[in-house]
Amino acid sequence: MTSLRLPGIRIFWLALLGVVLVLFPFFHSWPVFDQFISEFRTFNATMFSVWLLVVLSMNLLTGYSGQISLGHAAVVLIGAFTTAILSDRANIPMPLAIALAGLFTGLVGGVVIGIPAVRLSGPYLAIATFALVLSLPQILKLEGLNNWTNGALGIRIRDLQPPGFVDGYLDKGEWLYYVTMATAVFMTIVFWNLTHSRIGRAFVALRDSEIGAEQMGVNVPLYKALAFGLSSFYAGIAGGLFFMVQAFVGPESLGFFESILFLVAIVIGGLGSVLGSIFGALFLTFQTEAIDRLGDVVAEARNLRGVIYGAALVTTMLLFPRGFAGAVQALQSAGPAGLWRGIRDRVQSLAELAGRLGERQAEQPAPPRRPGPPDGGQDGS
Amino acid sequence: MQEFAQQTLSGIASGSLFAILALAIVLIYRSTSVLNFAQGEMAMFTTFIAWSFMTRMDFWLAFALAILVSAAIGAALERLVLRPVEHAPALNSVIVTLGLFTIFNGLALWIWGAQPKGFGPFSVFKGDPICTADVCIGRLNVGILVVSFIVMALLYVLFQRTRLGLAMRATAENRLASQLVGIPVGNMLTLGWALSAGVGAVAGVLVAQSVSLTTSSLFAILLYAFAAAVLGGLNSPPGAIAGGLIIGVSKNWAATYVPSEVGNVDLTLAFAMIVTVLMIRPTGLFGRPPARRV
Repeated sequence: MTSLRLPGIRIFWLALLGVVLVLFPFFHSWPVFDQFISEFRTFNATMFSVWLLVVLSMNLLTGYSGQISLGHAAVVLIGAFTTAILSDRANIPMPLAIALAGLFTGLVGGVVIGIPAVRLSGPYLAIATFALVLSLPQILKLEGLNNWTNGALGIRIRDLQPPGFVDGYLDKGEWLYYVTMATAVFMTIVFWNLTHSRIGRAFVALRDSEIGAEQMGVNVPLYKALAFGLSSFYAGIAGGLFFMVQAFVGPESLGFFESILFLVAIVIGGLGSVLGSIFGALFLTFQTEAIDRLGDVVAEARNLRGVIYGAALVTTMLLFPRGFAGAVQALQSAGPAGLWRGIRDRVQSLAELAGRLGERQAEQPAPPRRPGPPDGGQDGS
Repeated sequence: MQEFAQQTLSGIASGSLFAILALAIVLIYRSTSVLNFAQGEMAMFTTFIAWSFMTRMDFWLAFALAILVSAAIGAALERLVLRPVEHAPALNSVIVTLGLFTIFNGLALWIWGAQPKGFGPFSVFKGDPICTADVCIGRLNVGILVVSFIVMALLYVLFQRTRLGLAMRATAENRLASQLVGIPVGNMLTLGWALSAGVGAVAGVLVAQSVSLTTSSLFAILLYAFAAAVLGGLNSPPGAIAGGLIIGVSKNWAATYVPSEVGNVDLTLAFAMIVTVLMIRPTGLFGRPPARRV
């Protein structure tokens, strides 16, 4: 990483994206735009930035480095609580508190989770992280820590005002939007550079084959701990922003359920890419609203929330095995027709599977359905 | 001393619930290398099915029917939604099982509603606790332990003493090589899911008698069952039972003997112990480390 490079998208689109991001909080007050963008969308966009950092952090760990975590929400929560304690109890200014929380969380993640992770892998690692997310609320509520964490009540921001120089130009929501969005954009560019550097390639080597990476001279324990440390740094910053935007954090603000959502987000979005992380963050931002909207249209959908949600997850995995980012890549390389062909093939093979369900076929092994290298080894066993 | 013995026994009682569900998780992991997050919800769903059978027939008949229905659901799921993601990244099957989790939960809520259903204890599981000297354990918990050991023994016979079990083990070990020697690999995977869903139904019907039947009653237990399966070693059925009992007992000890001024730390201590064990034995207490290959 000699110098910071911008991702290789065409400069025009990048500039357009920049303009949209800068003007976004004002869209709701413009004619025409106000038809479909309400003021609430500014808050959506603010949360999107926070979720983007969370998804990037999770993607760095799982999508790039292949370490599965079921407890990522705990890491974000550590960042949020550190920020809360630093700003509320020690009166450190918010931006500095968030930066310090990022560093602290990175250190905790690298040492407390990263070092055990050197010895554990696959489901065993997943359960160790799962242990963290279930234990953290109990730890935060310990009597001895009450002076810092305020126990089960959590910490609320008493008074947070935008700095004086934006007075009269931006209200609080708009200011929060710019702070989080700018942080997210900057950290996304850093992320892109990081994953295209020597470190990023070492992570990918680690994911694809630990032994292979070892043979190629990657210091496996070091890079595993580094993956946890860097990912936790991102999660810590995201947690700090989460606290600032929500103005509150409690021991149960983020738990096992959110950890699972983060995992779903990176897979649905697309593993191991920035584009996939953006899709994942969109998923996190809009998933509840999407189902609520469906409930407005079809009344029965309200009672079937879980079923629709699950069916959407399963269908996405069946039709887009590499997430939405994978679908976009297929669109780029093979065009709309190619993307459609891929989906149609998968639907057809599904229908075939359903059709064969009742038949007996014990006499002969099923031939591999798709041409290409047969899947010899299997994961983890 | 008497309190210690009683707390240990109560721990074993709650551990028995974790153990039997952990057994189902181990079974599926052993035969397909998939961690099935929907295990608890599938078990819950089939327990509701058993509950609706029970209005019309005897407990044992309903129990047996529920196991069969559950096995059929398991086999169908493997064929329909898991096989297509077999060649995709390993995480995809995890997401599919998470999707199944919310589907089964939503369906059960839709069909049977959120009201808790009175469920048992039935037949031999009913009655006064069994007491020796001055410590007691519930009849149901003893029953669950006995059933767990029976299931474990049956699985042992299946996996170690029959050709079918050998073929299933071979499939889990090396899919391509198994296919080359003529094992119908696809059918073995389907069978693995059917078996595991069947054991899940056994777990569900037994556990629900202890915690009352709601759409969320098995979730908390599933979390501990996962931990138990991992603690014991994901490919070892005896490990699953040992793991379940260890977690139940240690959680109970922590809840009893840590002074209340410190706060509630039973989960934290139980998990700290699990992570410590995993640090020393990275594939669980009874797990066999996998061969490392590129």
